[in-house]
Amino acid sequence: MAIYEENREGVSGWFRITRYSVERALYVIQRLSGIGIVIFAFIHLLYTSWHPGGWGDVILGVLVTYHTLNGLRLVLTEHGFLIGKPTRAVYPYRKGTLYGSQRYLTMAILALFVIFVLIWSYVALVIPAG
Amino acid sequence: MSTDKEIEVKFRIFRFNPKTDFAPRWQEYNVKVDKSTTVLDALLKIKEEQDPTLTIRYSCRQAVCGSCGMMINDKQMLACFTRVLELNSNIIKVAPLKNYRIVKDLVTDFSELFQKERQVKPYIIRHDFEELLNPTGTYKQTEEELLGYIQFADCIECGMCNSACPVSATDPLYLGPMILNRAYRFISDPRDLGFEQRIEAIDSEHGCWRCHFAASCSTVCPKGVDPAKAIQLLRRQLVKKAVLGISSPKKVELIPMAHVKGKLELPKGWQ
Repeated sequence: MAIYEENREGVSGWFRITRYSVERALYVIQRLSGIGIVIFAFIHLLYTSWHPGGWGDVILGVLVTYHTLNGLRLVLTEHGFLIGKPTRAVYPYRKGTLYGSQRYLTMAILALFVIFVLIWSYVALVIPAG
Repeated sequence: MSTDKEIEVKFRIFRFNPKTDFAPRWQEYNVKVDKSTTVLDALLKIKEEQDPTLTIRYSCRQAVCGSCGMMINDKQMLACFTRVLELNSNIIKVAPLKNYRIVKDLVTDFSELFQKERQVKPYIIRHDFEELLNPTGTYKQTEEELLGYIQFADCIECGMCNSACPVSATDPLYLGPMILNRAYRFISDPRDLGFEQRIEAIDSEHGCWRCHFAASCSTVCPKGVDPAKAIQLLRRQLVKKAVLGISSPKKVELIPMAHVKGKLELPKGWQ
């Protein structure tokens, strides 16, 4: 059968995250949050005054915050910043894209993400109720 | 240590012959291994002692040739470079590399990959034909210039990075980390003058802009090559050239050497 012979992972390949580095998981969340934001944007264009409200607002805030912060990380790394200079590959290998500055940047954006989400949740849930 | 004695481990191996089978099947074998047995040793043991129909591809047995890349416990690894007991698993699942056409069992077809590789012209391009045909010396390189590409020149073309890439999983036309790394290796070489000739393949929908920096290619690379870095640096060069208009012309000094002599014949069809 051609499909077995072809042996291509397809979309399920995006979700194979457990055996690779953390960047792989960030990549999948980036894609899914992007799709989520596009879906919201479509509904928002049809019914301009509509917004999910309550926990819906929190979820939307999580998507947008993550997508923006991780997007900033990608803008930096994909232009060759913070991934280290080319060097000799000496065992045990420490690859610049998986260690050092890039990882610190990843941790920093994840920390910022948590802080922003907490602030946004407070704004979306506590302030309207109070 | 207790690991010196032999332990019996179960191997679940992917069996599929596209010419005769309708669908793949998993076959189990029990193999006795010790602490030095690699997955390749175990597979060869199965082939010799239990099932001669099992098909595998290997060559050097020391992580130099890149022939025995396969999915070991769902991750791309070189069978010769992976010890069975280091996997810490009672069942070892062995399957062919994902995203490549299967020839038989654990053997995958790389011909499409090498066909795509031709697009990026993986060789040094120069315009001083007279010097190439009648060499009088060698091109000077500093240590810094060498460090710019030596890491990417270590690629053994095992194809595991393309197999791990989530973009290659959905886009069959994507060049993939291996080929883009190859392109950057030559572009960053101070002797090479072929950047313009490679732009068409690299600066395209299926070229380096398709990468999403999941960095799985660098995670699985057995030689420390870091293809993800090569792709990002490739982008940096393209942005520098297209947006900022910066292009650094390469000027390589030729060191005359008395002992370099001899005329090279032009290959057929070469111009």
